[in-house]
Amino acid sequence: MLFRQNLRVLALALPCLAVLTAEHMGVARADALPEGRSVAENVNARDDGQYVSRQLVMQLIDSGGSTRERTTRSFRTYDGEDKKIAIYFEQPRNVRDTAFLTFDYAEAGEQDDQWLYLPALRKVRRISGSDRGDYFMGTDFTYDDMKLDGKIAIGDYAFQSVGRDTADGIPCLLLEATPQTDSVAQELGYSRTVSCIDEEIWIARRTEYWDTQGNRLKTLHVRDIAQVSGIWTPQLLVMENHKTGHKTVFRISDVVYKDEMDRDVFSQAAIRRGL
Amino acid sequence: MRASDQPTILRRFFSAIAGRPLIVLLCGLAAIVFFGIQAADLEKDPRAEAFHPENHPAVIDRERLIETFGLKDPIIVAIYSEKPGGVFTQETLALVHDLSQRLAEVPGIDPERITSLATEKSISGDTYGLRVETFLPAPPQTPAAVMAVRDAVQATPSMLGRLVSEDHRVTLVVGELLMGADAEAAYWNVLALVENTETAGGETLHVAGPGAMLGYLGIYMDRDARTLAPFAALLVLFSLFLAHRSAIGVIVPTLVIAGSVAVTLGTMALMGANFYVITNALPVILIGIAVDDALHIFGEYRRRVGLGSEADTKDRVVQTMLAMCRPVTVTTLTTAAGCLALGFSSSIPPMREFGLYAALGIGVAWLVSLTAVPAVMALWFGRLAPSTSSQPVRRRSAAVAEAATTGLKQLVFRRGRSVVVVSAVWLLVGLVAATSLQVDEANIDNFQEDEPIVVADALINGHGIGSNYLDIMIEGSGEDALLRPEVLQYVDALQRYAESLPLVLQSVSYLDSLGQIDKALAEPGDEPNLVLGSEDRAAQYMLLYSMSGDPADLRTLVNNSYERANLRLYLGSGWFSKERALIATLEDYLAENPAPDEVLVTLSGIAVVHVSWVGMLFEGHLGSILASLVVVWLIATISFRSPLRGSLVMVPVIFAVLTVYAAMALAGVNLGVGTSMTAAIAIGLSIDFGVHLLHRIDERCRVHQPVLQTAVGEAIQDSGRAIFFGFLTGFLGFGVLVMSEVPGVVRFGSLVALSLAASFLASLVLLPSLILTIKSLGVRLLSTTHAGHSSAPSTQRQAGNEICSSVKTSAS
Repeated sequence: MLFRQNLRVLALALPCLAVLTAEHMGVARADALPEGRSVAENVNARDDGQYVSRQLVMQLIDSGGSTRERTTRSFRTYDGEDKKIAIYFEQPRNVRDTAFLTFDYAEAGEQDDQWLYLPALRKVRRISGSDRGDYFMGTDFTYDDMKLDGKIAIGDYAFQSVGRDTADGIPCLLLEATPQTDSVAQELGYSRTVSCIDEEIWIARRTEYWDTQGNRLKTLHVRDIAQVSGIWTPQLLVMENHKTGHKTVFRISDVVYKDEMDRDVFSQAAIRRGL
Repeated sequence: MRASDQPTILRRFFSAIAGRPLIVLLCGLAAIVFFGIQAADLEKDPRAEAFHPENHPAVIDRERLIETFGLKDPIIVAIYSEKPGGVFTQETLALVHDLSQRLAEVPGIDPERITSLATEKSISGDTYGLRVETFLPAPPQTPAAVMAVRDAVQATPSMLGRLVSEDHRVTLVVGELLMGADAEAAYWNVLALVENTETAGGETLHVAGPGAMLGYLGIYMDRDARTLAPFAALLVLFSLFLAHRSAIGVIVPTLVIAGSVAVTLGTMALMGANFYVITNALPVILIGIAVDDALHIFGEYRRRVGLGSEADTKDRVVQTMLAMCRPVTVTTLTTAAGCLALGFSSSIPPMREFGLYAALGIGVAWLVSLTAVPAVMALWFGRLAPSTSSQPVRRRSAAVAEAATTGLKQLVFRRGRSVVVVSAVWLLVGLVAATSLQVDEANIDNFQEDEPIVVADALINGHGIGSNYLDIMIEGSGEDALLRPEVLQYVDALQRYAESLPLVLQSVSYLDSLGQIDKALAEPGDEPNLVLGSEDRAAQYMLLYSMSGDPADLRTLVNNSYERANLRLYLGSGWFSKERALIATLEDYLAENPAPDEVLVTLSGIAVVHVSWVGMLFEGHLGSILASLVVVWLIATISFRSPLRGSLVMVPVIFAVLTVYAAMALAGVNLGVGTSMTAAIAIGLSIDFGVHLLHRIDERCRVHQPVLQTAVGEAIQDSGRAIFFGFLTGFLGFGVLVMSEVPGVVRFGSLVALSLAASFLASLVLLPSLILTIKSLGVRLLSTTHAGHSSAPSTQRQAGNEICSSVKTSAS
């Protein structure tokens, strides 16, 4: 008697289960996540201008709330595959006219060139290239973060789309990036990153970083994204270091994109001369 | 005298207990179970910071320092190399590189905060320009690469004495604990890493540092908790069995121990108190102290059985409790008073909690002794016939006790004056020795001398690398205040002066970073330290420096806005006396060389906190002892209703305290954290024996009206056994602490045990000798006895007085 009752329940339950499974699979098919690497390629394909000039205000805020603000005028251009960046300091007064120039060579293994002009010495000094995982000028951005400027080093990572989420209320795709090798992880200082990518404009609106031991390291929030000369341009970057409590805020304004630079700002003579 | 002759509240109370023993016992057991369950929630706290008094300026300054500069407890792996060339060999540098990478992988260690030759950067200038490079970017493959590393280290003064010893024998790989990391687990992991690291030969690895100490102390506490309490319980129960040769003689005190320990620990858990290194010893101490009351009660019951004066068991139990209620209460009050004096006079949280919770435990033991103990006796003796199986053993035991008390009485009666004279001489010796006691304390002193952590600390400090820190916080007003030339020059002079002091092995500040760049960028013919004369140059150098490291590199030295900086001094010793002398010297310097306008210089860090709280501890030490003595004397005086008799029972106490001080001075033991607690606890405990004896003399004199010598003799005879076993259990309880892993606890336990031995002897030998030898004392003692004792019937008091008069006559 009991066996029969169980059979009846089973007979009713199985078709329901089949329907539910089919529905679930159908939803999954409709919501299929794009392949991770193609997402990364889309991000890198985003137009960021041949040449850009912008005012960059760096706010460095330590765990105690103490803040240091530096105002700079920065320039970036592409020279073939190579990237050139010049940063001219305007504020505070005691570092005014200090300038930093870096040539980032695309060819693997070639060491970057860096020069610095210190007005107190009235000399341009060449400085040895920094490691990719080194922090940039006391900020929470690494040199690699700065050089990539929102792009992704595709050769360094394996990618996987892991879901969907929202960043500041905007729907986005979660892209997980894992270093290809341990040595890359050591070099970058990350064991994993998860970016929340806005598929409309192919910009990561939020990126989470984990250190080489899997501890939550930092979070980058990309906000105030607006079109300038038809190019989507983030104007507020906030990087929070969860381990140190240190925070860096980049405020970007006065952005000018051009196809060609109107004067040479990417030379030793230029950084000595100043703006 | 029958119980029914005393229609008092107390008699009704004890009658009720003896009448419903099961209910009383069930209530007691329920309380033990309830509090015992709560006790499981107790958490240990091995942090050195746990000893810091809350709201002390030095503690607040240090918290501000930690918050401002993100300082964390480091775990240090020291690599010692005996090879020619020291650590600058291919194999040893490869080991440094390997360990730096593997230490970063240890759970609980911040992988971004590894400091070693493999992570630190050198700044140098050459024809290329400015080079900012890691000293050891990869294991060196050639002797030339090794030499390059050595030269780079030699050219960076702040590395020598900080990461590499001047003699090149030792280099450090330093890891910092992640915020909230389990220090003990991290320490074990680092130890495992070191043990699993193969060296090429000629190198040894050692683990040290505040983070390691924290982990190590946690391990000590666990081991102590696992071994001490069970062992103490076993020893005490064994001595109880020796004392009574019966199951009931063990069950009764065990009940008291269980009640006292469970309620105390359960209350601690309910109050949110933690288990510190010191309070870790609390269960052991309670085991030793708690049984004392039960022993005396049980002894009195047996004596009454021997007399056969009471009609039935219940009556006998009630009579026993009526007789013992007062002395048991007095000894509880005096012992608890010693602990309370420690608790209320100490500003150190673990010591305060130790004193207060020890007093609670003693109070609970008293409550259990006055309720559950008579209940068990009523239940047990009311239903079971006395055992006869151990009668021969008891007879032997009684014979031994008889022989001992006879010998004791003869000593007191015949050599009483000699005892008094010898004791007086000993007291003088103790007094002189006490004045020569050395006051000193160090965190490393919490560990045994042969422990690897002590060996590592000695190795690191012995090779000129400081593993203890003193921080000097420099605060300016407004952004870039610390880059002003006059401030740069002031900090430079202060740093140079500090480095010239003998205890300071190395120092580091933001000026070192500036100096490195200044040196690297200098042109031939440039004056040294140009940076000290220009704010712009300093600001641009800081910007340049920030390009070479991560934000946290400078975070520990100067804040973002260059308003606050930390000048860290690496010290060769963490001993209080040396740190105090250094701080005094630095304070003198700061007084003679005031900081520029709007700049505040504060000595801070662990060394200052250490000197502050240990200083407070020692300054309050004498006050704490005097408070204990006064409170205990007051209780004794009120209890005996006589200042003279109150003073008499203090004699063994003072004898015990001075004996402890003399022993410390002779054994070269410093007055430290653990040992400073000894006197207050010893005062509370030591008085018990004298109180019991004097109470018995009083009672003998009052009830049976003997001459004084007979009263004293009978008192020794009656209470000597209970006093002996009370002493034995206490002695064993505290004596077990010598098995502790923590040397401070060992010293505390052995000194309290010694004080118990001294007061035991003084109570049974010196006190009666004093009473009998000094005639006037003897006479006044007895006259006050009768005048002041209201509980004795007036006719007996009168009779007693007459006997006392005859004693006075015979004595004179």
